[in-house]
Amino acid sequence: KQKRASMSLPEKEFISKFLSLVAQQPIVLKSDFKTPMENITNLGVALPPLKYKYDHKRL
Amino acid sequence: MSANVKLGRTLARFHARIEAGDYYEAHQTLRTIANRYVRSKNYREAIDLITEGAQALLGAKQGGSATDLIFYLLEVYNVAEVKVEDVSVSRLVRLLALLDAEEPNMKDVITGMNNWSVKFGNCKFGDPYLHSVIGSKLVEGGHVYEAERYLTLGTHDSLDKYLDLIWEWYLQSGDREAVGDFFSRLIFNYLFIGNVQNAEQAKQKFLAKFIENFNPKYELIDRGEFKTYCFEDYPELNFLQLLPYSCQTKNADLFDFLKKHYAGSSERYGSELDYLGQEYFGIVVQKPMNFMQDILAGILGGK
Repeated sequence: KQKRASMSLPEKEFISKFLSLVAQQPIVLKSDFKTPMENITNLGVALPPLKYKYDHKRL
Repeated sequence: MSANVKLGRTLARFHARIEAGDYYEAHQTLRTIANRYVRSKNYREAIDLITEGAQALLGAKQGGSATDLIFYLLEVYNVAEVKVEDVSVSRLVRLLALLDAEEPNMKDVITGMNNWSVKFGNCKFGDPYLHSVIGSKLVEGGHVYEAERYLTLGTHDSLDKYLDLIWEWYLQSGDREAVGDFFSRLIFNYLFIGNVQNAEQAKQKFLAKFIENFNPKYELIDRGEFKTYCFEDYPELNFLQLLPYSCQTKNADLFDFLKKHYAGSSERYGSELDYLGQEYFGIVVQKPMNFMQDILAGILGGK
């Protein structure tokens, strides 16, 4: 337990610092930005399939 | 006799046959009459007739005949060069809604509809409204990977459907530690198509569910507009929350800073991050040159 708490400290610091850096930057794409559907020409990289099956009949 | 009256009579006879259970005859007669309309280029009448026929057959659980008529309808759409508009799309949406998700050729119906919307609309991948309904049908039928693609390219409503799918899938996995496998799909798929808004909303909604259901240890780190749940035991979730923020700045140094801190996640999501690097930060990934090319380039003094 003790070890975990001390491990997570640098991460907390990192996140704080990262968010502060983001906040200082000009934000090019606002949080409500989305590329209009007509302008989408590429779907990116196909994500690997999950190793878990989805059972639609379990719902 | 006007066209409408004729059409009305044909339909009345058709419905009577359906009610009597003469599905085959009803189907064949309707096709013959629709054919006549098509040959005389009365596309509107043909479309109305076929649509109503398909609806009635779906209502009577005659999936095979109904999907045959849906394919025929799409043929007419193509011949008549029907454009993607509210009316033409919602006609297909109504038919899709009635279609049984277990119908064997459902995927072909869906592909046919989407191909039409690609050909006669403005979107390279098809119409978003159509996608949102297609996505739900695919989820219902258990075709989850196809569903993901359509829901990502859907309307605003599709976000919640996609989120529900991913969440339900995660619960079914029974593997609480695998949360990043699921969460990452939402983040990447939306960032890939430049949808910061949905990445942001998916992030908030998914993590709210995660916290509510599993009560993980976290601390909220809040810098005004930018917030992150710092999870003690899930660094991957922390990484994935920060990623959209770096994209919003388009600042390559921040992107690098993030990747370096989370070396494990960066390695795991190498190709996904390469793609984002290119799209948001203009970082072109050079393909490794092969050895012989390297030597030749050296000899010839080029590089």
